[in-house]
Amino acid sequence: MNRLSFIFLLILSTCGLICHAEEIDACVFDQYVLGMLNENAVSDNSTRHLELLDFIAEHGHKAKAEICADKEQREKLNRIAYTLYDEKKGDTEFNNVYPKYAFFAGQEEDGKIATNEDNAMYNLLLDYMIAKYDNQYAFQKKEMLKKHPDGSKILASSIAQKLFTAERLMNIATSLAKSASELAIDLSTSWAELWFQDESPLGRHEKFDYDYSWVMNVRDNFLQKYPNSRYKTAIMAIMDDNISNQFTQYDRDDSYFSFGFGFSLGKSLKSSSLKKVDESFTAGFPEARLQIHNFVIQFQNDLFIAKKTSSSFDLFLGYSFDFGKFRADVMGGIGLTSFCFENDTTNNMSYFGSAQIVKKLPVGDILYLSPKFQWVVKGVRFDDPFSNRKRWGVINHFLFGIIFEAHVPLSKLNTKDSGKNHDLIRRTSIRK
Amino acid sequence: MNMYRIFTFVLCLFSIGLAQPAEIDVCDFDDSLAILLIRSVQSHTSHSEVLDYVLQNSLSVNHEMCKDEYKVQAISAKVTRLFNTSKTAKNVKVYDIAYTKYEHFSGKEENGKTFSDEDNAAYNIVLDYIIAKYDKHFANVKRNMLSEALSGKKSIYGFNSKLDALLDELQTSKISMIEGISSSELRSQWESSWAGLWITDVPPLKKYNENNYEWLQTPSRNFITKYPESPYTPVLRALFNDTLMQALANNEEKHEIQLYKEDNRHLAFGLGFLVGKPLLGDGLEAEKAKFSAAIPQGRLQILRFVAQVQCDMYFHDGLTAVGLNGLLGYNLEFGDYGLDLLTGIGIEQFLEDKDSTVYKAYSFGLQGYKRIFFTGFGAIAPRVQWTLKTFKYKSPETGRRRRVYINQFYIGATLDIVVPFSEIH
Repeated sequence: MNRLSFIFLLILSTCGLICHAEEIDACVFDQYVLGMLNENAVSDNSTRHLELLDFIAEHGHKAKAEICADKEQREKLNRIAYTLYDEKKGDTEFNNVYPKYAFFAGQEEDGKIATNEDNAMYNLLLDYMIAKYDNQYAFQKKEMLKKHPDGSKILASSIAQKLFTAERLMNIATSLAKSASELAIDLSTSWAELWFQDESPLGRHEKFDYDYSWVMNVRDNFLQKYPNSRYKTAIMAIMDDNISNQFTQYDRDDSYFSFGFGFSLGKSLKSSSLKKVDESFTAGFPEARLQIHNFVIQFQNDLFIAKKTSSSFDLFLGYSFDFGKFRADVMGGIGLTSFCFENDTTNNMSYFGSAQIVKKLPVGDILYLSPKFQWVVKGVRFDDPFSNRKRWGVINHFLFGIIFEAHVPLSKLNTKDSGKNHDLIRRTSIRK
Repeated sequence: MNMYRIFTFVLCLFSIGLAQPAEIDVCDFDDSLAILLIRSVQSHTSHSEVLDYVLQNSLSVNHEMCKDEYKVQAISAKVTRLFNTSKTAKNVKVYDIAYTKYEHFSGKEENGKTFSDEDNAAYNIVLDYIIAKYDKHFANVKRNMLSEALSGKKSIYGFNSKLDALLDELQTSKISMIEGISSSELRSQWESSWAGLWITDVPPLKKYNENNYEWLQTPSRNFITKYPESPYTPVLRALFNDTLMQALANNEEKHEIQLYKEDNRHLAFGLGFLVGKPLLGDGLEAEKAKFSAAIPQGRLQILRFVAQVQCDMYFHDGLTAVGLNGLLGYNLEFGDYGLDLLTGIGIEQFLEDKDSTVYKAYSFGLQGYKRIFFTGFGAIAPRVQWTLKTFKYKSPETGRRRRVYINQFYIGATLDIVVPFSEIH
């Protein structure tokens, strides 16, 4: 028994060694794949699709399913990914994104004829690699695929509207001597259908829960359609089941920067010790909010609007939780509250905690006009001018308001500069 | 029986005589060579077939231009399979990047024969030769790439080394992943094996750029120097004969390679301040200024045109004079550095104890800056400025008006928002 376990251990460790030695570094692998995708997209009649695919089929299983960890190399990959798709204003509040899908099925490359399966794999890889290095893309694409265009459920029209810009579809159709609608119908029986299978109302919910589940869905459709595909092991390695969670986690850790101004209106509930303080309604004006990573700093001036307006200057520090379209800030802070009475004013230190829920409504790329609800509980060491006695008072503010904010992932800021409106330039032409 | 043997022998002699009628047609030779190369490059095998073919046949061919139009067209179409093309950007019209599909087989074995660096070098030289002979644009592009890399200047190609012009980065990284060694190691292996011939002992750049085929002859020359006894030496001498090279050069593609031009047009808005020292000219003895500050300074740049508003304040014991200037000008930019040439008008107000005087002033300015980007659009721009201001000043002592000058030297910084033009529409 002992010997058996020893042998087993030996086998395991040898395999571990070999398997490890065989692995390809994520940065090197992704640089090659995105480099090839960019190379093929930039030259009109590239014949290097199969070169990439052959490599993927034979050596893709050695790849590690992770994001390149080296910051400088990753930034370059972000920029290359940015060249691989177009962005157009959509009907919804989000922009539509269109990757530069390749068409090479049936063509000869290096003495081999490309199949529909090759074409499907290539475009799946394209979508996947862009999404991997551009979280904004992944998010926008999810939003786009989620909704039926004009309520239509016809596959060809979904394809025509969601996978291509009208011009691109027209150009490709012209080059193949077809009409755009014919091309869309053709595509609905070849690789493009993989993007739209299983659009049952039940299946859809889960598919569009996370930003990356749509890619995984295309992957599953591919494996279902081509169960014996030569790419199978490579796909399982490159896009393993866990990767979409990894990406989501990565996005959470991605540093971003957000800066906003706003105001709010509401009512306050005061404890009995403060009942002499006048208030017809409460306003938070102005409010300034700064967020870096998940840390929030907020300045806020709360006003008790009445005949004699009392004001309170607050400084909050806190942590922000992100739930897709919603955000919750949990904050604590200190401030100075001054109460104005008929013939006296008092200044009091106050301590508070606050929870704030914001619904993010994007207006444009980086700007958000966000309604919010805020609850502040404030403890004041109240210096009562009437009884001339110090005592604790508690105030609850309930405030509704609006924040106008700019919200930019820091990596995205740099990408935008060099990508220049998704100009399709070769990776070597990208300014460092 | 004996008769039969003799007969066979004679027949053999005769057929050999027929098979080698002194010369093979150059078009046929090139065509067969192209076909063999395509097969070999696509399968990464049959290297010895190519080398044997060249060794056996090339000396019995008069290597000149193929004159048969149809055959030239056919061979030209074939050789496009022997290299990869790319563009520096999608909007570039024809390809401006070409990478020959060089083979790397030195040290490998095929049919019991182990290849040497010499074999590998000869193979790749012949590969370049056949493409360049039948593709003018390839020759031109390759000349441009190599000479950019050899010049060592930063170019749009983004070369970091001379080898980058020769070896396709994607191919290198693919092979390095397959073989499990780093790509830099792989590159240095190839460089010492064969690629060095392309980039060492290169004629001076002026000569190198004289025609589109000088780059092609360089590795052949280096090969002959390195391996004078090699069986390939006479082959290369024949292939690269002076008459053919001259003919190719006479017939070369003339126009320059069009590369991607970065769209540097932008719109910039800046707000900042300057501090400095004014030198009051003769005639302004009555006025005093220890230092001056320009707060605020606003600058708007659209393409090359600049409009600037600046409020100069002179201090001695408190504020002594204020000048408000509007300047218009032209901008020159060199990467992140820029220079503004400015001229404008404004008013100059001197604050006396109980009174103030106002003059209309003309100014000329020169301003240099460097933009330090902290995000995509935002930059801090430290700057130096020299402005010359002139106006007709009424001296409080003599009561006479005369022209005076003020020289202002400033250093400061602005916060710039720079938006590329392509982002706006």
